[in-house]
Amino acid sequence: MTPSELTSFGAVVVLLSAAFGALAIDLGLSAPDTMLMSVLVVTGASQLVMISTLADGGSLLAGLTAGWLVATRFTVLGVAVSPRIRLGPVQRLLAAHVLIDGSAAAALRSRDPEVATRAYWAAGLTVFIGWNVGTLLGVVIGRVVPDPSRWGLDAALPAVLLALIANELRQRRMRQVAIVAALAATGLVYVVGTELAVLLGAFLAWVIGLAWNRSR
Amino acid sequence: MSIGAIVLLALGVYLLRYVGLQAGEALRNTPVVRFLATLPVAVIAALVAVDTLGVGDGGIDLPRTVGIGVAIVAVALRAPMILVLILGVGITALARLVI
Repeated sequence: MTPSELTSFGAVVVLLSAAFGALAIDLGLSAPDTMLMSVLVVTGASQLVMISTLADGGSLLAGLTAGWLVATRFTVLGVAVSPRIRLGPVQRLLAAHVLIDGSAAAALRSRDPEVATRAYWAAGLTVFIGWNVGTLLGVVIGRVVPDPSRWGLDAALPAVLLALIANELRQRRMRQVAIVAALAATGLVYVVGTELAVLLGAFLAWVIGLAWNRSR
Repeated sequence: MSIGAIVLLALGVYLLRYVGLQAGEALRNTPVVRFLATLPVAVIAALVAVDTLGVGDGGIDLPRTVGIGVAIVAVALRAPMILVLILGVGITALARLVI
């Protein structure tokens, strides 16, 4: 990756994580907890999904389950990336912590393992630093800005989540599953409550998606 | 949220990442990977819907629904991530002023 590519990539990471930081504060997380979460978890989707589930009144188990399910994408990414980069056992332990869409995409752009490995580390490091700097920025913003919903910040949670899956939604199979999940979850809210509706709706859509793809 | 909860989330997420990198060759071309592919999108889409509509809190939040609706159109038009975010938040704020 060229320095200018890394810079614009880093800027996107900082903006997304700033949105996360501000949201976390608004949803009642303390500043140290929000920072700790970003340092240890390093993925907006899982962090937001868990915080949001708990804020909706969900149990800890429901929050953790939702956060973990979302992170299964990294297993898939790891499988795609690992043959293309060179990592020793210790390097792999570190590399796993910064495995994210951006670092995987950066590595997958080159067929040369040397270049791909360097790109992976550059993007991974950019994500880690940008994510935590941005979170800190967001925490500060979240503590300064009063009445966030007046500024539309309550829409930031679904908007950030939507932005995070925007690339995937370009595939038709993903779009179908997403639409079914959204509809199912919305309907299920009235039947089983918010926390279960999300997990159940998602699970239902996932199973329907698998069955649908198998039948064709 | 307790520190324990954060650490548990972090551990699970880390393991899912590590397993992917470690078992890359072994898991390649197995159904597991194909099975997992759509799961995260399903969870996130479900959450977007529920958080946008706010159906759990009685009634539907119209301004937010309009804002995220515009953001979805932006996604369909392949707008960059940041624009999706800005539109979702900005249009919601505008709609809240108007509605």
